[in-house]
Amino acid sequence: MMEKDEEKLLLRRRMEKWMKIFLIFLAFVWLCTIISKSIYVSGLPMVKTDTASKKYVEHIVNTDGIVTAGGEIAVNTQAGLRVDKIYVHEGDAVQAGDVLFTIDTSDLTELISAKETELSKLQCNLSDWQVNAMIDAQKKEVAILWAKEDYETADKETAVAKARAKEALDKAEAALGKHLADTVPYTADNARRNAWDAYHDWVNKGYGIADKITAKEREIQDLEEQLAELEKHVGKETASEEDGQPKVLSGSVGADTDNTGGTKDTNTGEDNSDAGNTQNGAENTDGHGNADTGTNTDAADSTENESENANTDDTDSTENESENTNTDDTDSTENENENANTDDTDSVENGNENTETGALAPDTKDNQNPSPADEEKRTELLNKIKKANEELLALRDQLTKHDRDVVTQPDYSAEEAEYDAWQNTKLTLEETVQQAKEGYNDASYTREVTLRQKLREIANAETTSRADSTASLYELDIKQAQKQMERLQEIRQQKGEIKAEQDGIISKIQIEVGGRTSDTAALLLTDALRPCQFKFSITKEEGKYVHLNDTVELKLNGQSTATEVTVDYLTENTQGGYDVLCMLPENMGQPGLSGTIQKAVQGEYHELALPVEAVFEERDTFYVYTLNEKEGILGSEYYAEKIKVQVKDQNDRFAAIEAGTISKDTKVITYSTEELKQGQSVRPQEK
Amino acid sequence: MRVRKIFRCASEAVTKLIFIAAGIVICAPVFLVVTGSVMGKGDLYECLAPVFEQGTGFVTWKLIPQYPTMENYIRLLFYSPEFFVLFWNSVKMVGLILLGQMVVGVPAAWAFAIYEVRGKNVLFTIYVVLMLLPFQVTMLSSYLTLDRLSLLDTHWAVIMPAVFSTFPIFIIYGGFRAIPKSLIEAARIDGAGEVYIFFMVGIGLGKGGILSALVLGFLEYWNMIEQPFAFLEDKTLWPLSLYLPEISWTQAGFAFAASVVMLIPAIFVFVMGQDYLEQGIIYSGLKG
Repeated sequence: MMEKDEEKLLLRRRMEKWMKIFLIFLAFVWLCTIISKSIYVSGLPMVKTDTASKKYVEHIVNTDGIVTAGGEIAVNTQAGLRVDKIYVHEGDAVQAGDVLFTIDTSDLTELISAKETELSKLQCNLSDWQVNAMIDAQKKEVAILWAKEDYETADKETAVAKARAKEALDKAEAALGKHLADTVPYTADNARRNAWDAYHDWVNKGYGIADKITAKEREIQDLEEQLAELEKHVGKETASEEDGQPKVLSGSVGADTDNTGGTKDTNTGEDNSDAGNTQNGAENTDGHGNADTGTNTDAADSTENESENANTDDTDSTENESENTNTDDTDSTENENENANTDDTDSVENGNENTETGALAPDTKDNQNPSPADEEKRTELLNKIKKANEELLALRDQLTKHDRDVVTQPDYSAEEAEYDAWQNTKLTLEETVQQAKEGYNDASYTREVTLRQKLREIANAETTSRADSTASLYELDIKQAQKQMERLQEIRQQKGEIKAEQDGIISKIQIEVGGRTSDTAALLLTDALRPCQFKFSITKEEGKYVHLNDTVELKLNGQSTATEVTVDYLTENTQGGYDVLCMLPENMGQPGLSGTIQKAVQGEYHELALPVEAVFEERDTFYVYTLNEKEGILGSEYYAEKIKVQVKDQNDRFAAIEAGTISKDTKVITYSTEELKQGQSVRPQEK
Repeated sequence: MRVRKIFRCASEAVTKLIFIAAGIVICAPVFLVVTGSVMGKGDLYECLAPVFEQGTGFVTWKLIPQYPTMENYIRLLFYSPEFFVLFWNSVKMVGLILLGQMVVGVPAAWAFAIYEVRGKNVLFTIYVVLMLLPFQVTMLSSYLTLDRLSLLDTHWAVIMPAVFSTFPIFIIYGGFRAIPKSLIEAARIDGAGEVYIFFMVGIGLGKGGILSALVLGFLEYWNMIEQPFAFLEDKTLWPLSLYLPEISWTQAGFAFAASVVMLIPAIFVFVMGQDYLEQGIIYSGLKG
């Protein structure tokens, strides 16, 4: 029982001990809870909030400026003077007559002497120029005279040359006219042609008679051959009845017969027709004779022709036979055509021959007993021969008569030689006249050119010389040098002192002791007679509310009350803002005095106006952070939300926000201990 | 005889080794949590790289961290106020649940154990059946009821169903049933009233069952996830058991430290109620 009680007691103590430890653990956790929450809360950025309110966004421009002089007066002096002393400083007030600075008198004396030297040089230059101008005028007059003399001389010389050329031309033309008048005889072309025609007619007529004689002789020969053949068949001797002349003719006829046969065989178409013509009669013989005129005139020629024809006859007959043989053996088309033509001729000849042969056959039988028909035929032939001989004699008489009535051949060679000589002389004279004309034209042209050139030389000599203002310039320089010298002398008389001409304040000194004065003003004095200006600068944003002719309040340092002044001048400056000038009332302010201007512009009434601290700008866009609540593990927490807004208007204190993005109840963060981020937990600052 | 003794000793040693090995395996999660809570980011990344990078390979672990640090605990205890919000939410809910169970469950168990009422057995059977139903079965009906009572998204949505849970009644009923009936009869004969008997006799003698119900209830409700997740939408009302899933893998060390801190109250309760926990388990018939 005792052990059980002790066991219970131990159990209770152990329980109590663990309970204590557990409670300590809970207390530790509670402590950690507070600590961690404290650390968390202390890490939150503290923010101040505000709500949008209805406000007039008033714009106040308040800036400092300075009083400047209304105008400045320049104190000038001669340039190049050495400054000896300066008695004033910038900002010093001076009165009229006060000495401002002095010039070094010794240097001034040197300058004056240098100026005198310069003046003397200028005067010398001027006198030299005047003498030179006089000499130039005289030279010009001489040049004009010379030019006129040259013109007159050239006029005379060229006139003489021209007259000589004219004279040569007249002489040449006269010689040509005389030659043309003394002409030589010359037969006209028509007359010459007629004479030649008559001569040719006479020659041709002779040839015609000779041809007829030849034809007639051939006819007689043919008739005698026929007669001889007839008698041969008949067997009678006819030699007793014939005279010697026909026998001679018969022999020649036999020779001619061969000739005729040769001619017939040698010449193809044309000669065939000749053969035909020969057989047909004597009418066609004249034509043949005309065609051969001039070829068979000599007996020797005819003899040669006969021998040639005889040779040709043999050859041709052989050829004809072989050709005929070939024609029969071969059936060539070309050979047939040729043989056809040839056969025609040959057939005619053969026919004739056959005919003659056929006719002679019965005659051969009749020769032993001459028939009356043969006798009649023989008689006929004898008659024909007789008639032909008579006609032959007549023709020979006609030829003899023709030879006696000779027409001479025309000859014009002497006449033409004389005419050619006359023509040559004429050409020579014409060339002479042409040369004389050219010489005259050249002389005229030379005279014209020479006179024009001389006239130009006169014009050049008479040309007025160019404008020259050297003398005037010298005179001006002299006057200027004299004035400068007078000014220097005046300064020297004043012992080098430069004095103020009126009251003012020294605003700028542009010279230094020991230096030389320049072209710019040595000193600048404020113009005490003109009112001062107040000058100040404003930013571009402030420029929206300050315009030309606006009234602004000005309070100068040391003054208790503000004065209203007007904006008289406004210009943009290099800083992107504006420089403003206001004219001050007379006797107000002094140059250098500072002051403050102020201008208030009543803005529009806006429903939502926030302190400018609440609005921030990023990349030309305006934002605000609003305070919102959210539920998290830690309970209700505040966080910042970034909202884009449109700023309608703003001044240095408030910004008017476009309605819609925030409401008048929205808590807008105006201040934060840290830079905020979207959604960041924040802790509102307790009021 | 000696051989037998040696054999016995050897068998005992082997048995011990097996049990020790099993114990080590069972305790391994606690060991991992504790060592992981003192690892730096470098060590954790080296061990958990396959998890972070979703690559191939296996997670490794170090018995002793290369660079042990208390950074995770400092950050948890001093820079994480939300952890304590949930911690105190858990304390509040578990405390009220256990208190409610004492107020409601102890008299109910006393009535079931002592008084003979008609239909008691049927009613007790229904209680047991309700106890056996898992939360997922009753979740929808509970949600509709709590919505009708406008208790959703309040701590009462978790507390009230737990207060009227049947499990503690069943445990406490076992403790009260162990009180001899004759003792109660004797008290009545001696003139003790029913209230006096309940408080003086019942609670005194059934203290083991009540405490075991408290210990088991604490462990259950300290770790509950489904109920607050289903009935609480506001994160400010969540218990600590829902805080750990909120921590991402990149904050593994912080999660391990939070797990260790969350484990501490359960250990305290276990140590304090270890004896009663055994009794409760016996009463509930869970053991044996």
